[in-house]
Amino acid sequence: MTANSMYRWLRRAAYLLRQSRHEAELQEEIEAHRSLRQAHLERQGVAPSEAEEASRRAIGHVLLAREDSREAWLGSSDTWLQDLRYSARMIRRSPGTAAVVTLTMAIAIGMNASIFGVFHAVLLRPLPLPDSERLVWLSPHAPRFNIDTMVSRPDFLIWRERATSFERMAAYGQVDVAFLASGQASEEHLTLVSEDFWVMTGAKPALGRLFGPDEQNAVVLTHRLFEQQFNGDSEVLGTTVSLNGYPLTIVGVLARDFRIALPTVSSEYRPDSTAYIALPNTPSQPGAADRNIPGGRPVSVWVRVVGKLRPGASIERARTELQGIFDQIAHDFPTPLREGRILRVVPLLEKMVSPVETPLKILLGAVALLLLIATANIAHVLLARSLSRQSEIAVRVSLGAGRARIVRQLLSESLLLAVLGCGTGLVLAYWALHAVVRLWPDAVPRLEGAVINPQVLTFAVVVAVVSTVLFGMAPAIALLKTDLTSALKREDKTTSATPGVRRFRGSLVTLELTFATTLLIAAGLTFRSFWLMTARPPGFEPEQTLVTRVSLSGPRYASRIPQEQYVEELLRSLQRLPGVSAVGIDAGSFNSPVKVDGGTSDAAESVSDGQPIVTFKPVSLGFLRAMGVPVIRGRWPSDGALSSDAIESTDALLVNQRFADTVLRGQEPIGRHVAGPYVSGTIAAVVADFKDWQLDADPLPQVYVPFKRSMVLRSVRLVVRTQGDPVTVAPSVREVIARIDPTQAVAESATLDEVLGASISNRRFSLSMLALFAAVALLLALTGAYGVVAHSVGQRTREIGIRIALGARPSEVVRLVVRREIAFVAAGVALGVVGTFALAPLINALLYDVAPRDFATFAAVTIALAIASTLTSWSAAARAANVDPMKVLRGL
Amino acid sequence: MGLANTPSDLLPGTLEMLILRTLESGPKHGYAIVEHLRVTSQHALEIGESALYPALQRLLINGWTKAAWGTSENNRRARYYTLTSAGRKQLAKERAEFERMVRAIHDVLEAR
Repeated sequence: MTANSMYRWLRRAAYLLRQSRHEAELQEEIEAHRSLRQAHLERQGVAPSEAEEASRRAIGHVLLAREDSREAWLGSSDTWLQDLRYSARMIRRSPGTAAVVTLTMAIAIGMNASIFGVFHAVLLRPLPLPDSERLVWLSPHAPRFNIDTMVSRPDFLIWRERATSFERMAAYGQVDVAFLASGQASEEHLTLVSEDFWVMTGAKPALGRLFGPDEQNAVVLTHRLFEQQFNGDSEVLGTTVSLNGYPLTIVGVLARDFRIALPTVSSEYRPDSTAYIALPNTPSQPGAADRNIPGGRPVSVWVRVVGKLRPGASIERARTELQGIFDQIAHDFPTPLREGRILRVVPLLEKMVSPVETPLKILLGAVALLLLIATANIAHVLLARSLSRQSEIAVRVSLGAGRARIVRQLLSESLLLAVLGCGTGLVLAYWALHAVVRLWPDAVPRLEGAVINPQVLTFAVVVAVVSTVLFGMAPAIALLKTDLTSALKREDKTTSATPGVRRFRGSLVTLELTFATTLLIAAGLTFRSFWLMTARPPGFEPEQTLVTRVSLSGPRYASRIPQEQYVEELLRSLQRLPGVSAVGIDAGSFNSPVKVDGGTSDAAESVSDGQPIVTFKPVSLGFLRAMGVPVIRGRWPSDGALSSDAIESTDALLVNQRFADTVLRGQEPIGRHVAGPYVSGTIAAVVADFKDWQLDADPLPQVYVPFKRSMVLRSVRLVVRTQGDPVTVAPSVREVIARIDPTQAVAESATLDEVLGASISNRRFSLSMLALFAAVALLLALTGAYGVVAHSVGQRTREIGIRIALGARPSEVVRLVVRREIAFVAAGVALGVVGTFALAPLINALLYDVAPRDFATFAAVTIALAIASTLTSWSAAARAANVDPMKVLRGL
Repeated sequence: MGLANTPSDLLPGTLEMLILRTLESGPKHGYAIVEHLRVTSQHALEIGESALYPALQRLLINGWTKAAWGTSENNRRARYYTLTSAGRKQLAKERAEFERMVRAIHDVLEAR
């Protein structure tokens, strides 16, 4: 477009915006014109009344002048209106077609707008923090394991002092603590923050104030905790609460809208913080490694760091600078922990959403394919209709309508349908987004902001316009490819399509099936991953298992003896509870290299100094019973063998199948000696692998040791297997725990099934969406295939009638009709399989234990599609066999 | 037959060219343009309003003229049209084209 014509369109647009004023001005202008003429006549000696009359006559068609002036601006506006009115009439005349098109479009637009709504809310929406685009995540990165690591506190202090690319830097740590207020204990998610954190996040107190950098004894509550725990009573300001037995004063409550999901190192999901305290001051040297003080207040040596870039400072420059500082520290204070680390400086938002970025992109791609399928399907329907209207169109052409005019007419019909479809789609998207946010609140971070906003609206409209242009072209193409003169001559309303049109329709079917195949395979692979993830050993019944966590805190549990006494009392009391069939605890786990008699290291997954690394899990014997894990080899140690009296004299250990497979590689495990740094013993039995934490993580080689032999016993996970519904047992479990010691914090209880489900909630989300897309895609593609065959039957009614009259068998007729169309279907499936095979690795992020080119999935989907599409085409063609030959012959 | 007063008998675009030419001598309102065309053509061209105003709109769309409200000689509000520099260029172009055409027609008519 030249600059000139662009200006012309701009002037036209400006005209449209103030059309009524413009027309009023034009009227005034013409009236002025007339009065000038009248004055002129009067000057020539004509009487005033006559002059006025004459001037009116002379000016003639004022209306025409105005009409033509308007047309100069808008093109013929009348024809626009005419087109629209005509379109509305055509839509009313065939409401079925209109309904199908509108609905298809609404579903496609609705799904696209919804997914884009999620995409925008999660990945594109800026963080609700001041100058959020300058906030970055700073972390040493271990390329070998592709993980970010924590920053040591002293390192952070040096970074902050030396780096010049940053306006500020703040460190934070996150821990779960026992929170005791007025005799009530609860487990809270605590965030420890360094100075500058409040400034950086723009946090404001709703009540009281925020603590300063040196206020080591102050706690600030979130508004949620303030309401839940203290009923929003402002009297709590200044009162003392206990965190892990350490007294702190409540100095303030954060504003209600302050909500920031700070990333963890591995970006896994973590519940929102409920309280904030200042990071304790640690007078440490770089590289020093203090330990948490058991039972005391948490001391964070390892922190996470966020920074705010100076205006104009680039991320790359900041990274280079920080890498230099990091290398200098590594040189001055060498430790293996810093070896081979590279500094990572990434936008904070990117870090926060990194686990869901790829899945969301995949979903957006998938839903775009769905849109293409829907577009092709609508094109079908409109094409079929425009073919049946050929004679009508031929009449209009012969009455003088130009081809351009006809195409415009057809496009305006498409446009009207698109407006209806897009509108309905947006209503659908509105509901869908509400449902998604309610169904998967924790599946995707920042999902709560998913609403129909201007960006989503714009996206929906652009998508609608593009697809309208695409499907609106179809009837126009059909029109250009048909011979209208012969259409006019024919008597019947339907005419057979030319080979060109038939090929075009066929390739639409091919296109639909190609994309549907892709979506089905993607959904199939994801579903198979899901299935493998949730595979469980027999006897493992997470639905029947209640889990919760008790943290031992306070001066009373500072030493080992009372800790053990507490746990034993807990197990005894719960065992007696009606409805409970087994009770156990696990006391947390730790990874460590081990020495195993005859064990091989090269087969184990991770190896340290030639020794395989395995997970030690201190448990009570009841733990495996409560989990329902079957013994594969060997025997359960008797209860007596693991009781507190016998514990010193026995050295029985249990290992899992994975241990036997990877560390011992099929050698007899029973009786073999295992030597770890803290625990040693003899393998008494092998139990089945199971997942009790994270469904999409492979089970590691594990060693189960009696919890009494664990180093620390502070936070224990309680596992209660119930006979009835675990939910009904939960309150009495809570009661029992409170009776033993009301000052100990108990975390929310949930069934193991819920815990496991939550561990893959973002995968569930992706799977549900993909499954939905695949189902809709399949439906649309099959409808398309059915439509093409049915239409072809409709067009060949005469031929079929004659064949039947001449004695053709119904099955022959069906085969005849199907043969040509089925080729397009087969081509679609084949193209889909080949294309998906090429692109499959792109969805690797959604898969677990399944190769992206998994043969079984490809084969199953292909076969299922082949059967479904053949049946569909067949049933469409079966109508052909029902043609009454007499009717056809009479019609000849 | 001669040149009639209805613009449809003019060659397409000629009316616009004549209006541009008329405006070359300074801003004018619609009536003044009609009068100017009538007088300078010695009453051969009587432009009706139904032709004039659409033509004026076309000139505005193309950016060849600008319009502004002013006061007419009988003290009424009237819209005055002014030639823009783009309009001046357009006029020169159309004039050259028109003269070429007239010469061509002349040549044909005079050919033996």
